[in-house]
Amino acid sequence: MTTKNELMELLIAAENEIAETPCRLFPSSFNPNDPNLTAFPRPFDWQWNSCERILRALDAHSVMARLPLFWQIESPLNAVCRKIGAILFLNEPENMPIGAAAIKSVPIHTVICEAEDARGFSLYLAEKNISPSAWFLIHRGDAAEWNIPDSIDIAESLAQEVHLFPGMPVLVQCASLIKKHSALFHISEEYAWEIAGDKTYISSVENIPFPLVKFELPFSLACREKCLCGKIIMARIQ
Amino acid sequence: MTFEKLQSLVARLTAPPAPPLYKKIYGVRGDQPLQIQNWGDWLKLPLLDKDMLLNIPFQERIFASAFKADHIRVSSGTSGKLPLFCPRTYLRGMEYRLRYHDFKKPILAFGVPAMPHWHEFFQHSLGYTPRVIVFDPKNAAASVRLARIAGADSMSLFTFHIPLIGEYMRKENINERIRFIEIAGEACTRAMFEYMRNIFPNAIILPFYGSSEVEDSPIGMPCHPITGEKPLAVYHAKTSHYHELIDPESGASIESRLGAEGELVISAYPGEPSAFPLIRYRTGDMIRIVEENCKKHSTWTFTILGRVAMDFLKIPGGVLRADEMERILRLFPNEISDEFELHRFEHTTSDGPKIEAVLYVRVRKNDINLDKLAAKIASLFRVNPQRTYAEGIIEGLYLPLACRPLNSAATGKKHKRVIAH
Repeated sequence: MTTKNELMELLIAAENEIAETPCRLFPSSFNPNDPNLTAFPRPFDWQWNSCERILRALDAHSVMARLPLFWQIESPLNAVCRKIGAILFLNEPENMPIGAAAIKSVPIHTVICEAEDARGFSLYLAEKNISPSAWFLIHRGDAAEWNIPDSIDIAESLAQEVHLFPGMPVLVQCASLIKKHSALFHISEEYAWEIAGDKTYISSVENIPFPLVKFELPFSLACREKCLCGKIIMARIQ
Repeated sequence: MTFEKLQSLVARLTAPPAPPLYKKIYGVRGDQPLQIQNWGDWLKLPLLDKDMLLNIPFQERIFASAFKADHIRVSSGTSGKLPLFCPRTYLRGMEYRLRYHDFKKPILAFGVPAMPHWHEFFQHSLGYTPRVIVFDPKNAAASVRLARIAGADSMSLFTFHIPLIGEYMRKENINERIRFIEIAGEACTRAMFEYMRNIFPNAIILPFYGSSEVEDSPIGMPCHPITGEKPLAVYHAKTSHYHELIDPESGASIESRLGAEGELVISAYPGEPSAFPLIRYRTGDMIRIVEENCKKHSTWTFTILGRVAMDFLKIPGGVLRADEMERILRLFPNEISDEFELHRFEHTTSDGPKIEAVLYVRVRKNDINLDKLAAKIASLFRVNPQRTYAEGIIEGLYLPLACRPLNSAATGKKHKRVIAH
C-alpha cells in the first residue's frame, strides 16, 4: 500500500533520475505553492484517451481550454484535438472577457476547465447571454466535493473527470454517464482497483516509469450498477 | 518570395476551393482567378489590416480544415480594439534556431512564440526525445521547479517574463545552465539585455518577431543573436514571405533603401496546409532598414522601431492604455483636465529592469499634491482586467507612478499620448 506522503517522498528521491528518463512530466500537486511540489513522471507516449472519448461523445469541433498552464496538459490535449479534428484555443482562466469573446465569435463548442472555474465563468457568460454547447469539467481528486455548478444550464452537455494529480485522470466518464449530468464515473482503464471498507486503492496496470502500487485514493468510492458500456459505475461516498 | 510565387498565390486564393475572402476584398467575380501581370498590378492590390479582419467572421477566415488547423491565437486586444481570433497551422521555417542551440535537452516554453506542443514536434523532428515544460507566468516558481527537475537548458517566452523567471532560476540554481533564450513580444531593451547577460551568462539570446495574425511566423528571422551591438535585434524575411515598406499615413510604397523607415507590410504563405495565407497585410509595426542587401541572406534587413498607432504601450503583465488613463483623469475634474502624456521608462534595479510610468497632467489648481494624486491614479488605473498599476507596484513589477505638470513634458507632441523611452 502506498500513501500520498510515501509517494511524494519517492518522487522527490527520484528527481535526479528524471532528467535522464524519457518521460512526460506533470506536477505532483494541484497547488503550485506546495513546498513539496515535485514532478510526476508519466509515460512519454501517454495519450489522454478519456478526453478523446469525451470530446467525441460531445461532438466537439472547437475546444477552449481554461486549465492552468502549469498542469502541463497542453500537448496531450492538442494531440487529442488533432486526432478528432477539433481546433484548440487556450484561454487564461483569469481572462474571462477573451473566453467569452471566443465562445461567441469562433464559435467555441466545448469548454474544458476546472469545476471551480466553471462556476465563475458560467455566471459571467450568463450575464452576457453567451453559452458554449458543452462543458468538460475537471474535478480535483483532493477537493472536498465534486459539485456541478448550478449556473451551468441543464441544456448544455456536461462531461466530467476527476484527476488525482494534474493531468492524471483516475475517474472518467463514458457517453452514457455524460448524459446523466451527475458525478458518476468509471475508474480509468489505466488502473486496477479494489475497495476495502471506506478505502479505495488503485494500481497501475502497465509497466510505466512510476507505477502506482496499491495507492490509497483521497476519497472513498462505492460501486453502483453496471453501465451500458459494460463498466462498473462508481459514486463518491461523502 | 518571388513575383511568380506571389502571382501564383493571388491566383490560388481568388479561385475555388479557396474561401471567397480575397475575392470579396479584390472585387473578383466568377470562378476565374485574379491574374496579376506585373509589380504594378501587385501594388494595386488593396492592403489588408486588422480592422478589415475584425469585420470578417472567423469561419470565413479559415483556409484549412480543423484536422489541419493546429490552434487559434488571439491578438492581445491591447489597442482597445476587439480581440481578433486567428487560425494557425504549425510553425515552419524555424531551422535557423539550430545554428544557436541543439535542443537535445528539455525547454521551458510559454505558449508564445510557439505552442508547447510545437516545441515537442521540433525536438522530435531532430530525433530527440521531446520534452517541454510549459511556463505558467501565474505560477512561475512551480514552472521553474519543474524545469529544474526536467533538466531544461533553454527557454522560449515573452521578454517581460525574463525578470520573473530569472529570480526563480537563481533560487533554483539553474540560471547558469541555460544556454539558449528565445524572446518574443516587446523589443529587448539595453537594460533587459544586460540583465539577461548577468543572470544567464551562458545563454545565446535570440529575438523572435511574430504576430498573432501572421500564421507563418516569425515575421522576421533574426540575422544574429542579441549581443549588445546596436541595433539589438535585426531581422530579414523568410523565403515564404514578401516584405514591403509603406508610408503609414498615405499607404504609398517606400523604396527599401538603407535607413528608410515605414510600416512593414507582409505577404506570407507557408505552403499547405495553411490556415490563413496573407497578402499585403499591414503589420502596424514601424521598421527601419539596416542593410539593403545583407551578405548572409541576400535581402534587406530591418529593425523594429515601434507601433504605428501608439495609443498603448505594453508593460510586464499589462498595458498602459491612453483611453483608460483618460477615463481615470475625468474622475478628477476639479484638479486636472483630461489632457495628458504618459511616458514609459525602463530602469535597471537590483531586481532587474523595471518599468516606471510618468504621467504629465494639466493641473487646474496650484496647490495640488501631485504625489498623492499619482498614488490615487495608480490605484485606479487598470493595466489588465485583474491588475491595477498600484497592484503591480506591490507585486514588484513596476516602480511608483510619478505625476508632473504637463508643461514640463518631454515631447510636447500633443498627438501622442503614450510615449516609450
